[in-house]
Amino acid sequence: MSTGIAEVAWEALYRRLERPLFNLAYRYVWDAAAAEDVVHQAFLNVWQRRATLQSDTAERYLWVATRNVARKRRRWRRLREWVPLADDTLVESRGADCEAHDQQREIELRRAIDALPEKLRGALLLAEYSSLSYEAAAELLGISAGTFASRRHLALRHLRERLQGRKDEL
Amino acid sequence: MSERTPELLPDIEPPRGGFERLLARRERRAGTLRLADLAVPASIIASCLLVVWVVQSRTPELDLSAIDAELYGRATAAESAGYRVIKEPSSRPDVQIYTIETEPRRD
Repeated sequence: MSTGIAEVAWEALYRRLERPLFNLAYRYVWDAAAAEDVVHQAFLNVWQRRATLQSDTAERYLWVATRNVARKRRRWRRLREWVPLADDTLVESRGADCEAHDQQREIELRRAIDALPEKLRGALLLAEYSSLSYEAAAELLGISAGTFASRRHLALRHLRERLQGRKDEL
Repeated sequence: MSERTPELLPDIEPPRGGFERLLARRERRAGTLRLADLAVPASIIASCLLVVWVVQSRTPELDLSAIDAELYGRATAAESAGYRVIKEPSSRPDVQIYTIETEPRRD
């Protein structure tokens, strides 16, 4: 097997994975531009390592890198929100791409996902957006496939309960 | 992977033109400065204050991802350690200054 990623393969990876990676990143940073930036950073990392990476490992690397960068952005964003800056959070979270979605529902969904422990959130978002098998996704998180499935199930249950609870309150 | 739950997590369309922006960013990065090349980090670390600069569009060829990585690392570490972060006034809209106190929060 040849080592290294050619430009064509790199572009093909982007075309195929842009959307699912963007959706994963978006659920961490809640801003379309920031989510794109996260994905771009992951792809630039792959480009920098193209001589040593192989196509079949690059995809897994991209999922890990996107999640890691997104988590860092999320932590930094939380810090920014803690610092008394202008409250641009909700404005930024509503990009043009989200206009079709109900604003209130997005806010509730965001709160519900934000409230998940990272262990559950990571499993849920990888299960939702990656095309990896349970075994492969679990390996990325360093857990067994059974634990991965259990975390995903628990995350979905938390989300549904929280969203249903909010609906009942209204 | 398993069945999806679009009713909970609807698929969002990324902004158009993403690959072109990625290519442009890659080109810019080819000849970029890195944060380590700037004289900022060492000089801004004083005995009592750690100042983090967020440089936005200050230098067009600047690799902002390098700035980001540095900034996030510091901010995250500071936050984890319980330090208070204060946004300082800045006369330049493209430069923001944060002061991270070296005394942990007591609240």
